[in-house]
Amino acid sequence: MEHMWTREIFWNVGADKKIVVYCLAVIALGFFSYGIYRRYFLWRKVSRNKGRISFDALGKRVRSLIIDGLFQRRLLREYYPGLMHAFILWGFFVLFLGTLTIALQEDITSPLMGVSFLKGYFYLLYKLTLNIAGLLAMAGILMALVRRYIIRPDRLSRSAEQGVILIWILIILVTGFMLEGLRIYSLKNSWEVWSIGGWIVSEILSRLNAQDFSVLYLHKVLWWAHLIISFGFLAYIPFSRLIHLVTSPANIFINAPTSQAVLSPIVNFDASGSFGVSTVKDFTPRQIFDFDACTQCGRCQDNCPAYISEKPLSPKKVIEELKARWLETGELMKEGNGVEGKRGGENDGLLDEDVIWSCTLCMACAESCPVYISSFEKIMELRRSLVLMKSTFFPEIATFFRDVETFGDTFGRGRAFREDWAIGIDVKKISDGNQADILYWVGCQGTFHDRNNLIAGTLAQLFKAAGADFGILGKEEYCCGDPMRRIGNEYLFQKTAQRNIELLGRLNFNKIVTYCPHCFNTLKNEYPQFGAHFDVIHYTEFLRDLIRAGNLKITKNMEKRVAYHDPCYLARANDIYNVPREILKSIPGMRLVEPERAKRKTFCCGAGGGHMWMREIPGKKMNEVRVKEIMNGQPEIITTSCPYCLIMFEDGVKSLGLEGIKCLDVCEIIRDAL
Amino acid sequence: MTMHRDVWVLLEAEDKKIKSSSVALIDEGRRLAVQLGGGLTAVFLGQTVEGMDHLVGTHGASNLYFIHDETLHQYAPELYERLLTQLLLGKKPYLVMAAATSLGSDLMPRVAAKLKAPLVSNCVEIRVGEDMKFIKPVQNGRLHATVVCKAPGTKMATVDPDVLTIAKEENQPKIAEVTEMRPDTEGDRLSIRVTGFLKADHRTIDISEAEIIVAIGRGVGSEENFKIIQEFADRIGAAIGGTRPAVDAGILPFERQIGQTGKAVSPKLIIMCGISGAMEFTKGIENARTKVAINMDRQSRVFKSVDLGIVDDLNRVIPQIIEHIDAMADEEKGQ
Ligand SMILES: Cc1cc2nc3c(=O)[nH]c(=O)nc-3n(C[C@H](O)[C@H](O)[C@H](O)COP(=O)(O)OP(=O)(O)OC[C@H]3O[C@@H](n4cnc5c(N)ncnc54)[C@H](O)[C@@H]3O)c2cc1C
Ligand code: SF4
Ligand code: SF4
Repeated sequence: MEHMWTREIFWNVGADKKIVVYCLAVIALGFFSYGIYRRYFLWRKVSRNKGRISFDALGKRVRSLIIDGLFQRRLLREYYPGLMHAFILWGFFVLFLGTLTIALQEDITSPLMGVSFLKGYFYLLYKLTLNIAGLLAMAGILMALVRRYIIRPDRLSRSAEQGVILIWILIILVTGFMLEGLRIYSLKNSWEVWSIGGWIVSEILSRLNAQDFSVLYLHKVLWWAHLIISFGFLAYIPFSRLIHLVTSPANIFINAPTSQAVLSPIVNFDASGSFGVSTVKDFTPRQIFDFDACTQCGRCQDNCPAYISEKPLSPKKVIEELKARWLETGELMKEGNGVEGKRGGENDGLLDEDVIWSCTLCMACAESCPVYISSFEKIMELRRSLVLMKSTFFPEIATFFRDVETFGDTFGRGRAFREDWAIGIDVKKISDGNQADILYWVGCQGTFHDRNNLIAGTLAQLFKAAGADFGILGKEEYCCGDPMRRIGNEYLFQKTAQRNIELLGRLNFNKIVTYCPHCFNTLKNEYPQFGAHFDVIHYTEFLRDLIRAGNLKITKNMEKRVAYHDPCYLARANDIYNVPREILKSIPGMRLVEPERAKRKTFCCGAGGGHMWMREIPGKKMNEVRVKEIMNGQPEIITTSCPYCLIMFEDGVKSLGLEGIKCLDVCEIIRDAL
Repeated sequence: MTMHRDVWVLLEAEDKKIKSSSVALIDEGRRLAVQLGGGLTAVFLGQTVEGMDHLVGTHGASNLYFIHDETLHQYAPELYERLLTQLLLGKKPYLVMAAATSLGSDLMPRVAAKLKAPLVSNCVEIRVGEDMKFIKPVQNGRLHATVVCKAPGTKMATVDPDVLTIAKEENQPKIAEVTEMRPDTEGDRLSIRVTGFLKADHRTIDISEAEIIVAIGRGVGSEENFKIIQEFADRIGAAIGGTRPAVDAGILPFERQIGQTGKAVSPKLIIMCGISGAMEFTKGIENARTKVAINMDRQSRVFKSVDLGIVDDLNRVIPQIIEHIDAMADEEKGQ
């Protein structure tokens, strides 16, 4: 009985038509390849830089491809759109595998070895799987249609193309089920109930009492229609947004090992004549490929603090606009036309300056992009061009650069005042002849800001209380360089970094502990670009270890509602979000309330990317937006572990007129709990 | 080799009077001339000033070169440059000084370039020694650099007018020997001509250039109170600036924000009303000369670094100051 469970592949159409099918397939693949080839030209040739795809860290690339490509991890962080997309992807993926299986049997195993495996239990399982896949895909398409035309979220750009694609896929699926239904209706095999979708169609047909002759005729017509529509779809892929079927996974593969916490260095300031990006041609092929991998899903925009604060920046639009400039330039180049695109010219500026300066380099866009695109990386390139090539920046930034250049700190105070914060604490100084286990890197904020220097002092006192062998650089400490780098002054950054690396390399210590997450990230992740590998930890990690080891003993109860805000450069850039929570939770009585956006999904305080020294760009104040969000949990204390965030929140709490809300650093809470 | 170690000073006039900065410059020139063991000569281009020879002589210059012509009544850069260069080429003084006013700062570099002479701008002190030493602020006044001139020949300097003060000691009335010169300016084709002057309006002047500033903060409270501030600023010819909250509240436009994320100002006088003196704000007033604060809160940080602190409600103090100013003005009119 079992051998009956199979089907004739070219049933009702005739196996002699096979050759036609293969001709059509070749034509479709031809279109597909041509489309990709055309694109390839645009990917590679528009850029003046040579790019080469690297295959190092292969394990990481493949892992990301599986986790975020196949299993859609990042997409599934949002249920509705995540499931919607996953259903379509998985559905089609399985259907595609199913078609391959047929081809395997019909073209390889059957003619060459006389083996047909699509029969029996395997056939039933195969049918069931494919039917479920088809139904899932259909559900996904319907969800997409509802979302696009009924829910209409702000982040979706509306274009006819997307509607066309959805309907096209729907037609493929529906005709597929209809074909199956027609066949089942004619053959009347009861075991075909396993083909759920087809069975439903056949049931409908029997209710309608369809005529056998017309059923066969309709099947034939539909069979060809289904085939042509499907091949047409394949051919259409590289000419529409469907190209993301190719570019998105490729992009995940290409970008997987790139760390968002690190900006790429400009190598050799003496040799290259142009820094940053002033025309699309300055982007690398990899960056250009990003433009094509973008699916315009809008997740980056939804998570961008600048966009949410109504600043003139949307990371999604950044990619869209740059993509348009690139295509424009590429098309003109193809025509052999020397002219560049509308805004592709050297001096036009690819994006408005307000857009470029609105970014706080918080990395939320890159973190949320399902296909590993970093919008801020492109913004950074444009900033570099503004700063290094055109000297175009706000005058307050000019003052800032001068301060750092002259005095080595972001406050423009100078080394004479570097040790003032430590007056009365008696801290050892590490120098050529004087070593310590821990080098406490205080940072400019901890050194000079009249609120943050209290925190720097508290930290030193905690280290002392725990009996740690630590020292500071004192007058020899310099700015780490982070703000300059993220404002676009790579030159000043590298000069500063080299100076620090030279000094640190000479001294004797085992570990660096930093107060500020920005110093932490720079010393830990960016200095290695210049050959300096120090063991760097953040003070929260250090305090956690001291508490765990019993060197600091929490003795007091604190019946307080406390909200912890994750600094971008600690949580998002360095995955440190459990450590401060562990510290806070070790205090009895403390109620930790979580802001809506927390851990890796945290929301920028508003001071990153140089905004500490920049005017407020029109829109809402980012710190107020964040403070309001945090206040939803009704905390009595807002705590964080970054000097920038702390000042921003104190400012926000004051300007919102919130009475009785305290802003404290985590270490101040620990001090109070000892 | 014996050298003339003569000192020359460039004079300027305003409202048909020699500017006080110029008079002070003569005093400074005399001090240096004595140390150098040379004579002091003044040079002036422009329109006749009543009693000039007497004034210049009394302050210690024995000679005055007075170059006058219709075309010199207003500063004409190219012409001034040509005439002064010619004169100096002939006389070869040891040191030439001018006040670092807008005229001095424009003219001296032109002449220095023509003479190929070293010029140190905006000095706050000049010392005589084996080599001349010029001390001048750099990095926005946070540091002072000593510039040593080792080159032979004429040295030039402009002096910060703010450090120039007229000497207190009684001078013997003396008359300087005046050499009048009438240059031929027919052939000069001037590409730069001054067509007139606009007086700076304290209401519209850029705060980074204002000499007097009334700065407001959150403590001003409302638009209503702001009107009193405006009246006050008008009375004393002050430009209005403020803190970031004042800008955020929409009372002031961003161009008037002082501080770390706004502008740095360097007025001679700043009066801070309802400002707490946060670091981000004080970063912008590091170069202000005299600082006055009006704040209700005795503990306020703003009082840490002011020359005069008034602890009171600004809505009480300011109307009283206005009244006082008006009374003084009436008195003056009455006289
Ligand atoms: C990244 C960043 C950048 C910043 N940049 C700047 C900047 O460039 N410039 C700037 O100014 N700020 C800046 N700030 C804000 C700064 O930190 C302070 O919050 C701000 O300067 C305080 O302004 P204020 O003194 O007007 O207000 P407050 O601090 O609220 O002070 C108001 C004062 O007015 C007094 N007062 C109230 N009523 C009266 C009355 N009737 N009579 C007399 N006194 C009264 C009060 O006692 C109080 O001292 C920045 C903040 C951040 C976080
Ligand atoms: S880095 Fe942050 S602020 Fe900049 S575009 Fe991305 S999400 Fe927006
Ligand atoms: S950059 Fe990434 S997150 Fe943003 S719209 Fe494109 S695909 Fe979506």
